[in-house]
Amino acid sequence: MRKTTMALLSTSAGLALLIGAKAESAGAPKPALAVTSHLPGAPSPAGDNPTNSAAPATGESPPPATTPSPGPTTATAGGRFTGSVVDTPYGPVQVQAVLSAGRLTDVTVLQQTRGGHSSQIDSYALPQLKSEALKAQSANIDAVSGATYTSDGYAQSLQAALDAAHR
Amino acid sequence: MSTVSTPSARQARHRAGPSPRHLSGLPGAGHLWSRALLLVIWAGVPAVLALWWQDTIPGSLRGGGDYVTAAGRLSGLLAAYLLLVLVALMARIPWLESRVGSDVVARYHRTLGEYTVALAVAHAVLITLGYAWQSGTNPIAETGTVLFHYPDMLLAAAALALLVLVGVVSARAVRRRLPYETWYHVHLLVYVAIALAFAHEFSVGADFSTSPRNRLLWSGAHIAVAAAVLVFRVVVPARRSLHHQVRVARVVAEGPGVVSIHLTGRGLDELGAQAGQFLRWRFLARGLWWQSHPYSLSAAPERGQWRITVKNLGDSSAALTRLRPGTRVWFEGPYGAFTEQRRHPARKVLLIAGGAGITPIRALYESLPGTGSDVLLLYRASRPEDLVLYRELQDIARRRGFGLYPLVGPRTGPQGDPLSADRLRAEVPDIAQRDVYLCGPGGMAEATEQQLRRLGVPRRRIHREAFEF
Repeated sequence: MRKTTMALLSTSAGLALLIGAKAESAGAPKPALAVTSHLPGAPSPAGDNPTNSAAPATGESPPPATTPSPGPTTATAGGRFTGSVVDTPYGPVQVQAVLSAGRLTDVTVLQQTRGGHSSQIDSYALPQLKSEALKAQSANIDAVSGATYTSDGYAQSLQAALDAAHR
Repeated sequence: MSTVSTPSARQARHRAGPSPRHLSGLPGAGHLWSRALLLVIWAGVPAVLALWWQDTIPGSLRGGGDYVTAAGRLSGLLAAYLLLVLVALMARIPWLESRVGSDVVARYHRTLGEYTVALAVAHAVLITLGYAWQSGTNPIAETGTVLFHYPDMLLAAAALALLVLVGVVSARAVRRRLPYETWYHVHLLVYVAIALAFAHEFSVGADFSTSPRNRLLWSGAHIAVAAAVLVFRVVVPARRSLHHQVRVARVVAEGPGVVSIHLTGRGLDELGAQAGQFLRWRFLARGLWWQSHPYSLSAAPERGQWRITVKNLGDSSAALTRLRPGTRVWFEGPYGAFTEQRRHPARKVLLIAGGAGITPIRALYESLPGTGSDVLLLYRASRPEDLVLYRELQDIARRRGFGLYPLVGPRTGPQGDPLSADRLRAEVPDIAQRDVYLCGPGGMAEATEQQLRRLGVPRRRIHREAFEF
């Protein structure tokens, strides 16, 4: 019994460290993202209209897609393209598409829904949406059941990002 | 106490060799293997944690609720992995049974089992609390939501209930009051629990629902363990039982409530059973066929003959005393690393038996190589009539010149516990240089091991057989 208690205590400590490390590691790339993707509030050399992350539910939906940040937009687009902020009843959804030589290689979530059960729904819906998008190589993806709002917002934002890439 | 044959302690110390320090650097074989097993088990943990690390969206951990949920997911992943390990440990994989030793494996299984059930409970609690926190509902309402609105969660809840049940019947206090069969059969529910829990791991477990690769690896691990269980717990025993046709040859009364069952069969020697090993027996007689029990061979196996000795404990062992010659017997095994190979060949041996623990010790006593003080036996019993097989032991002692010390009397007698460190040292002055084989009831074995450690016997030289499984 004592052994088990000790094991559980050290497990708690270990998991706390791991989760802390993950939270930290997630924090690190953010500044880089903010620079490359013109996140709301970041200085935007391209002069796109600044969106407001504090009150994203303002009447600017759907806002125009932002411009690709690094590299020129050539026929074979590469780089990070930020999608529009799409409002849902559970808050804004915004994604960023990563393209390399015209191929969609990653989709990063910049804003996800909050409130209700959205966090836990997103925790299984977002990875699924991403893998669908990567497979389809487009925003033409099926909604994840139980996560309709998130799915719609995701698809719209991704479409905007892809439009920006191919412009 | 009466001494059948007194070894010369002085001589014993001399023969222990000139440099015991040098020899003690060699770990016992079983010890090394059990280290290797621990290493293998541990190796899976980072892999499982990496699943979560990879699949957690950066930046999605933003508040207390997210952290609690993450802890819940991690503990769930660990619990699922360890459940698989627990089943694999009990799959009777030959390498585990004979190299690491059934007793060591059972001990790991016991400790890990307790921990795993706690992790599974923590998983459910943390996920529910985390979800409630994230969505601002109260945990009780959230429990309902999780159970009824998320796919496969009712199955998972049933799995958790089964796991907790298994945990409860294995708790020492409960286990003591239950018949062996009840405990054993409840344990089989773990297979059901794993099957029930499997569905929710894929449907709501984000680490699997999105990654075909992870699903493949995870299913593969389950299939491998299931195959091991099927092969080593079902196919091999069935094939051996059918081939060797073991039957009860005769049943011999050994004393009050104690019988020896002699068994014969075709080509038993091919199985390579050794003194100190045990088998699981299933006697195909009315009222007995549905349960199987582990019993050690109580004599060194020879010329197609096996023997076990059973004490009537009032439960199903009572029926064994009435077995008829000719009864067919199914068996699993032989298992166990409580054999001659465990010891260092240059070392002398001390055997310590308590009560029914004499059976494997009796077989070792008969077959260990050596003469005179090379092998000593301390035989502990509360009353003289509990010294089972004593006549045989005397014969062996006389024939081979081995020491035989019966230690009779209650633990709380005027002279104190006969297996206390002081008494042990007086009995066996060179005890710290010996390999010690210990077999007896759990409490006695535990206490004796502690005394041995106090006397300077390193753990790797204490070989224990436990019958708690």
